[in-house]
Amino acid sequence: MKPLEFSAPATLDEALGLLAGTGDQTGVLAGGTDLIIQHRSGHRDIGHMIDIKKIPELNVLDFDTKTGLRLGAAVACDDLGAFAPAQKHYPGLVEGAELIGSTQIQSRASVGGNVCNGSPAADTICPLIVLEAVCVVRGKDGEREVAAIDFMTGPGQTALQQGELLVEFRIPPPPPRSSDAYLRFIPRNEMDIAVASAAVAITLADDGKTCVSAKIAIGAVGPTPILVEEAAAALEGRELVNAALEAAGKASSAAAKPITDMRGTVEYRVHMAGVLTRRAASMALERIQESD
Amino acid sequence: MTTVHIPALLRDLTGGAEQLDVELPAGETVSVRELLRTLEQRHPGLWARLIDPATDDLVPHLAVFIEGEPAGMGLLAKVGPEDNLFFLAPIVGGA
Amino acid sequence: MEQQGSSGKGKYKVIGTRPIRHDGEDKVTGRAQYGADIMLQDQLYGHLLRSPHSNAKILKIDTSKAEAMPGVRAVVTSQDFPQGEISAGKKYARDRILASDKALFKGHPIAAVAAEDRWTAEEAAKAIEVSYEVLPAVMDVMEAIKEDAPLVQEGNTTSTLGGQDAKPSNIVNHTQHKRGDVDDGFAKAELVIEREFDTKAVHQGYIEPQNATALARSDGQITVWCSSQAPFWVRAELSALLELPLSRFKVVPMEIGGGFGGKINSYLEAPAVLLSKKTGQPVKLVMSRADVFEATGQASAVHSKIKIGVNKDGAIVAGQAWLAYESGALPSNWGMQGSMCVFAPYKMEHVLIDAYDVLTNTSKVAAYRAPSSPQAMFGTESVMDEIAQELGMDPIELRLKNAVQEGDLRADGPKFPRIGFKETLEAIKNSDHYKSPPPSAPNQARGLAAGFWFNAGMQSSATVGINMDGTASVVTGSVDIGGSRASMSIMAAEALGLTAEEVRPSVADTDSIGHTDVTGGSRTTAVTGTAVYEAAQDAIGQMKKRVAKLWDISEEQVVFEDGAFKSTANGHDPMTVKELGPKLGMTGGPVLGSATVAPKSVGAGFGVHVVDIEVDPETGKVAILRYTAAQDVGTAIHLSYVEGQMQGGVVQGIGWALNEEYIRGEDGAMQNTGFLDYRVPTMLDVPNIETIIVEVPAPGQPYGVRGVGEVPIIPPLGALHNAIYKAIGVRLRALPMSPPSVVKAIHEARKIAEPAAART
Repeated sequence: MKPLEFSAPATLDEALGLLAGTGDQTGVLAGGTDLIIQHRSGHRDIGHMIDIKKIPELNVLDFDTKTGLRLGAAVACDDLGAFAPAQKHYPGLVEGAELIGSTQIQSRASVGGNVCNGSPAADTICPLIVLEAVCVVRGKDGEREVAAIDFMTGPGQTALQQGELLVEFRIPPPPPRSSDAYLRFIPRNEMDIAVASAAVAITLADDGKTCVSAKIAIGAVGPTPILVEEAAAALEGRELVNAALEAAGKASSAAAKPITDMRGTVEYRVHMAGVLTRRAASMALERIQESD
Repeated sequence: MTTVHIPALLRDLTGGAEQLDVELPAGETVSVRELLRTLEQRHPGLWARLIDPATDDLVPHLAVFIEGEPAGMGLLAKVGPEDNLFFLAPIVGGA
Repeated sequence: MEQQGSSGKGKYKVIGTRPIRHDGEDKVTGRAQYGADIMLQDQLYGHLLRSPHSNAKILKIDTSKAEAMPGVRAVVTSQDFPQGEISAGKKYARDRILASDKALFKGHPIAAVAAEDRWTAEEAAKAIEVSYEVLPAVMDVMEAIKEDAPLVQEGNTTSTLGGQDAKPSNIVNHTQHKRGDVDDGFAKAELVIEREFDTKAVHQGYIEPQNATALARSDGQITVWCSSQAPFWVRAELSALLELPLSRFKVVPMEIGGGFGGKINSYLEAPAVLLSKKTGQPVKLVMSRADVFEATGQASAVHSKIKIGVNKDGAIVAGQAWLAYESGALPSNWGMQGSMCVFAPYKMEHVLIDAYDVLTNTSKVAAYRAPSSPQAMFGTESVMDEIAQELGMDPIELRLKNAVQEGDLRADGPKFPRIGFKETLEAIKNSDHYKSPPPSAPNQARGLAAGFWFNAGMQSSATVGINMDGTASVVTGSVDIGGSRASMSIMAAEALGLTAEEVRPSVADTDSIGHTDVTGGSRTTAVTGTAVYEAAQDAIGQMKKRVAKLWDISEEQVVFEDGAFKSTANGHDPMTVKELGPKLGMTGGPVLGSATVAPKSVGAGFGVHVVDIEVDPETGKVAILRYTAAQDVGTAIHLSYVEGQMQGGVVQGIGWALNEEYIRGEDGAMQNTGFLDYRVPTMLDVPNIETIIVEVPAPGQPYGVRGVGEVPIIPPLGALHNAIYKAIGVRLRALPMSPPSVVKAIHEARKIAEPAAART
């Protein structure tokens, strides 16, 4: 490992100034739970580490019933998990954030970092997708928004252009009679990376039974997370009985495009995409019914 | 009667016998090496298969066992009547 | 939940209690000094360049660029070993440390660099230029055993007592054990079951990577600080590799963060010494986790066929086993040892066992807790379970019917001395766990299996010193990986009539105690304990003389009983060691008892485990609901550490059974070289493991101690396999029984029925 430069800018403009004109050799450091590992193991060769944890805009964490959740990119998973409005309104997102690594990791790891790492197995990306989160990006040319579904573009790749920084996530307020859930499969009970995962967000009609809107995303089963519209279609306009959940599961299995690697085989991941979709949908449904 | 248990792959030399008994005069002991020489006379070829000419000792990976006990003196160990002699792999543990 | 243990049944005062371990505070506060904590003033840092190829000729090594880098002080290769003609065995020993003409596995050390800091050393290693001629590699045992397989070692011919086979192959040894006539036996048996099994390589998974710091002084004296289970063996290995007398070396064992057999061979010590010789400064090397996985010693992958024939009443008539063990790229003999374990717990008239050690382009395999036995017994315990199922017999009853006891012959021949297999089976039979109904919800089930392992003997030394206030010290050369130093103080205390707190234990370096063999083989408490006992007796003998002086009577009139010196003559109150202490100086000076022992080994250990599980049939995940391990330990010295050894072994067995494996890519390289993807159980994956300590004292050991550490890793493989079968109706004969395998088995079972057992 060679020596590297380290900066800890206190303002967004300072950070953007440092980032302008840089490339692969620059690492943007929040918790560092992916970045430091990758640098130490030689997977990345970082010449300049830019610590963005001091920047106020990246640490925002607030909720408003009209505008929803604002989650700064550097906020630690632990802090998100402790934020009562997040627990109440976005339990699936909290679930995802609290599954990353372990308790110790979560005290440092950030949702922003989890997403910028670009892994389709990231535990927060599918919940963000089904919650229709928007990723707010700043560069020297100003601000732009990227829908969560468009943020990851390939394994290890994101929509961030050179010199750009992810600043925050904006998640719309959940409609009444809504909830979400996130499930992943790992061979042990903690410490693993998802073999397959599914996030489901559903909204029920006033009758408390018919699903009016569903969003289902599956992860770790393709080069990017997959929004499964056919699975949503299998749920929308119906009561979420077993047959509907089965249909949604089948749609997820059909949409999954996994590879075989040391974490799972194609067959197993395709199978699990369906199992997890069904189970996550059940969980989301139960949450809505329990809060009635 | 001292009993020498013959490893399975040597039994082609002993006509299939699983063990060979050697009479020892009462109260006497004999070294394993001497015992093997005695047996070699009855069943030629045993010595060549058991003894490594480079070291003049048992082939590597084999040790002398008296019943289940490794014999520290190896070929120099003394055996008496009532002893059961085996040639087995020395046990190394891992905990 | 039961935690049954002995309290010595009133026989002992200190043995069977739970004093706080003497090394405990330092370990939990982080003060304990491990190898990586060594910081010498002018220390350099070393790094190894490792082969990227699984099999390659080394054509040229050019270290010039590395040597020229600022901050780099030396580079060494195999050329830095003493040159000259060496035997094949010596070449293997050196090649294991630093490659000479061939890179034999990915991760094989090619060169070592010493630099002012570790980052420079790492960069310098990258600057070493090596030209390789890449060769085809073979990683799988069943591929390597084939006649036409690429040869891992060109000169290797099979070592077999059946006459030397001149044709080179990858088979290192062929071992055979035979008794009676198995064909005849199987023909007579009323039920014969024959099955094939496969286990993958696994790693011991110790939390502390190997490390070594060496200082080779210009006067020829060499000190090595390392993480090792066997400092005296490290010294011997260095002496052989470097062709220097033992008296040049001092090996200091630091606190060790786990070993389990993986730290018996040395890895970094010789390169550290070579670098220190060249630089004149201390050099420290620490392995990365990836290095540990790729280039230390995994436990053999094994392919086996097990055939057992029984009568309708369950009595075993004949047993046949075929076992092929991964050896790695250098010769080893775990197959030979496995052949002695596979049927060891059971009586059988007719036996035929063939075992092979097979070379593969992987790191040379090493010991892992009861090495060779888990893989061999996995198949046996599965077939026994199938037999019980077919006969409608309780699995414990089937084992009781065939269990070996004192006087019975082991499958490879020798008679068993006093052992406790039957007692252990009875202990499980009468346990709260086993007596409770098996879990009955869907996909829940119970499984059971047994395990056998030897207890090694070997040599140990100890000294027991009596302090001037009558407290004591006990010094041994047994590295403490399982709480043994606390056990040594307990045994010394018991012998001297002191408390464990009054006896200060320490683990000495090779200068400070007599030769002591490895901490391993489940021998430490038993054999080093014997040395401690005898050293204490030696001290007592010396103290008797002092008491005689004080009481002005003859030595023969002094006895030591119930923790005090007493006179057979009249008129003297008993005197304890504490009371005698202050009088030692005046009666002749210090008292130091010492002993060196090479006792008979204490006879085998047996374990029987029962597990309740629930399988999630959709995900294939196995949840362990309840686990009980019973084991005959002879006599339990420190109850908590005996329990801890049992629990630790069980957890490793669970990992081996359910999730751990070396995953290799097309190029043969291990892909999961980190604990993220090499999945050992975490504390969230296992329940509290209940332990039942069975005590059938070992003959010949002063306190009846057997070993405890190794046996517990064996039964989980069979017990979980048997439970999974009951839960889902399918036998997974390949390990690990990971979630994808379980799901696949369930899906396939829905299509095909299991072949029926052959009946005659």
